Order: sequence, then structure tokens, then C-alpha cells
Amino acid sequence: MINAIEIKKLNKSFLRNLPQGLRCFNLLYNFLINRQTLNVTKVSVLVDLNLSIGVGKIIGFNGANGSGKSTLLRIIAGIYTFDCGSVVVNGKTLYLSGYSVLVNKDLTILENFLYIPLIYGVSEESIRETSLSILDEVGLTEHLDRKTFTLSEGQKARLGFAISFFIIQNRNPDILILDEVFAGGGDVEFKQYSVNKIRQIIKGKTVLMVSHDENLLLRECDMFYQMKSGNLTPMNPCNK
Amino acid sequence: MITKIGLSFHNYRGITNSAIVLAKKSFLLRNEGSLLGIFWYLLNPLVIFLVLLHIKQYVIVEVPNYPMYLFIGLVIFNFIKKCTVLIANSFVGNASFIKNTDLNNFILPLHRLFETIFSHFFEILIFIFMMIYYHINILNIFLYLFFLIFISLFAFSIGLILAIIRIFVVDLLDIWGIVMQILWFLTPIFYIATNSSSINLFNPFYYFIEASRIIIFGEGNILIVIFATVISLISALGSGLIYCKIKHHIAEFV
Repeated sequence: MINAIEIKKLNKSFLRNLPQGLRCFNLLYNFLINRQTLNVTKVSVLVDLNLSIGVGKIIGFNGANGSGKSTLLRIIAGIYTFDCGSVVVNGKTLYLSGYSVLVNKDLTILENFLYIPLIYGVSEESIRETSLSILDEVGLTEHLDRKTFTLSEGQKARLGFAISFFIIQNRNPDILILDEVFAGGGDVEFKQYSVNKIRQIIKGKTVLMVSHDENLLLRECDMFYQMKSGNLTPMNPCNK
Repeated sequence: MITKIGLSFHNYRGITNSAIVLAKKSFLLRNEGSLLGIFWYLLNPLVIFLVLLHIKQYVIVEVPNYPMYLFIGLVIFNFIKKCTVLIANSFVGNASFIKNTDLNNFILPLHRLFETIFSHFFEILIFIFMMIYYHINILNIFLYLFFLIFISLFAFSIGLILAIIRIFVVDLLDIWGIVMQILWFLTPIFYIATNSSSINLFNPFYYFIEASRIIIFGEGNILIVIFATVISLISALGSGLIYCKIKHHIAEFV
């Protein structure tokens, strides 16, 4: 049986003291007068990582900041490249990191909802048909014409969730990558609501989920991995 | 390389559609709540146009239809300048978008190009009014619209190269501002180019401005139009090669 994701001997390093934030004249001066060239070093983030994920599995990742969780997911999503190894992804992926990343603070709630899914290739007709019912479900219909920058963090999280949920529903990915999407604002009730809604929509899909909430991973995942210094330790079994 | 089996959303049509959506929204947002609205786009070229037209009283510039000659120069220069500056910021200014979505990052510079083209259409309206006023063949505007593809291609290519360098060099736009200021005086926008001016030979802005004038007035050296077209194609090829080399690393660097 073909796995949804097959990773073998994956290595990824990032450049440190990268030529970022350089100034043209400093560069020229250092090169021409001091005869200094750029001294760039590499820091390994993922080392010989192997991972196989079966179709329809829900896999969690947990670990300290900088342990390489997001890097791994971004490589799978095709956002980052890798140095060596192989990554085979069988199916259409959708990467979501936080709910409010795409929310434009200068637009109203309705405008945000109408235009962000368009960027993701969702048809305008489909957006107009379902926008109000989804916004009603998250309790935002009374504020449709409010600019997003006037909203509370909780309301922004609700809007972001509504948009993300709608995009997932319409793009219908085979592999859904959720990078700390449940970490944003919102009360306990809303968090539970969003987890329940996501649970409905991911049936039959392969899901990779990063969260610092170990209980959430234990509850929702078929298996979860603890990530430390670019290495994966399986934490099995989950109490599903 | 990453192997993906299955459908890919990132096709060219998807990228273009997404870029148009973003461009429309940026365009509308920029004008929302502004008393002058779309006239903001015309204000800058019109004010400089009036000032330079006033100065013309004190210098001898023997050009037929000088106001039209001047306005074309101003508008094309501003179009390329605005386009390059907007595109130059498109990667660094949208780091969160690039890192946190799996959308193709090419959408970002492309939507800036579309946004500049939207605003340019208001300037084209003034071209048309002037052409009617000066009894110039109005059909030439269609040739200009075709040539606009090459002007856009050139501006986009320069902007794209700047956007890539801008990821690493923070003061690039300050330097680009100085370059634009120098080019403003070196390019025959408000004066006439003489054949003996060797600077113009190496100034791509000259070719695009002069070619636009030739097309709109319907007279002049057609070789300049051909040169401009070749420059735009070469710059597109160059920037395309550079972008293809770095596109998968942009998310890591911004």
C-alpha cells in the first residue's frame, strides 16, 4: 500500500549569519577595503530523518520551539527545500499555520471572507453561497461590516477559523497540514468547537498536526511524535 | 527534489487569478476613504506636468505637441518607477504570507504589477483626451496597449530582480531611489534627446519612453521600438532565470 508521505534520510540545514540585513556600502567597504568575504555557517535542523505516514492517519508533532517541527511540515508542504534525502508526498496538500495569518486588518469581516478564499482558488459563487452561514456559525454575523483591526483577538481567531475551515472544505486536500492552528485566541468553548468542526472535515484525510497541547494530540491523533533537535521520538499509543 | 503525485493547484491560471484578486483588493483599499480617490494616481504626473509646462516658457524646446510629448515621458517613467518599487518590496513585505501559506510566492510581485497597470489605465484616458485634442490618430492607442505588455515585462523584471536582492540587502531601495533620481534627469522626459547623446544608448528608460512616443504619435525611428522590445525580452529572461534559481529558497530567507 502506498503511504501518504514517505520521508527517507531527510537532512535540512539553515544558513546562519546569513547575508540578511546587509547594507550595500558596508558590503562593498568590507570587501574592497578590509578584504572580508561573507562568512556563512550552516546549522542542521533535521538530520537523517525517516518518517512514513499511512493514508488517512492523523499524526501529531510536539516539541520545544526550534526543534524543527514547522521546518518538517513546511518541507512536506513544499514551502521549504531540503538538502538531501527524499520526500514523497502522494496527494494534494494544504498547509495552514495559525488562523489569522491571512486576515487583512484593513478589510471588514465580510470582505476578508470574500477575498481570501479567492486567492486560494475557491470560486466566487461558492464563497457567496456559504459565507453567511459559516460566519453565522462562528457568531460574527452582527459584525460583518467591522474592520478587522477593531476586533478582539478572539473574534479574529473566529474569523480566521471560518476562513480556514471554508478553504479546507473547498480545496479538499488529501493531506492537511495544521501548524499550531489551535494555539490562537478564543475561549475554551470556541477552541472545542473548532476542534470538533475540524474533526468532522478531516475524516478520511491524512492530517499532520503540530501543537504544544499534548492533551490535544493524545486525544485527536492516531500517533504523535516528540521532536527534539531534529529527531523524532514516537509517543505511542494515543488514547484515541 | 520533492515528489508530488496528484493534482497541483499551482498552475499558471491559478497564479494569475490569485494575483488579480490581490491586485484588485490592494487597488480598492488604497483608494478607500480618500476624497481624491483614483485622482491620486493622476495627481503626481499632472502636478509635475504643469510645473514643467510652466518652466517651458523660459527654455527653448522645439517639439511639436510638447505637452503630449512631456506627459508621455512623465507617465512612462512613473509607471516603471512605481512598478519596480512596489515589486521590490513584495517578498520582504509579505514574509508571513510566504512562510505560512503554500501559495506560490510569484503571486506577490505579479499582483503589484497588475495593481500598477490598473492605475495606469487612468493615465491612458488622459492620453486619449490629448490625442483627440492634438488630432493624433486615436487608433495608435491600441498599438500602445500592445506595447504596454513589453513596458510591463521590463518593469516587472527589474522589480523582480530588486525584490530578490532586497531579501538580503536592506538599504537597496534607498540606492534605487538615487538611481531613479539620476535617471530622471538623464532620460529625455522634459527635454529632447539628441542623436549625439551616448548616455541614452545605455539607458533602457530612454528606449521605452521614446518608443511609446513613436507609437502614440505614429512617427519616428521604428528601430527604437524594436530595441525596447528586445530589452524587455532579455530582462524577462534574465530575471526569470534568477527567480527560478532562488524561488524555492525565498521562504527560508525572508
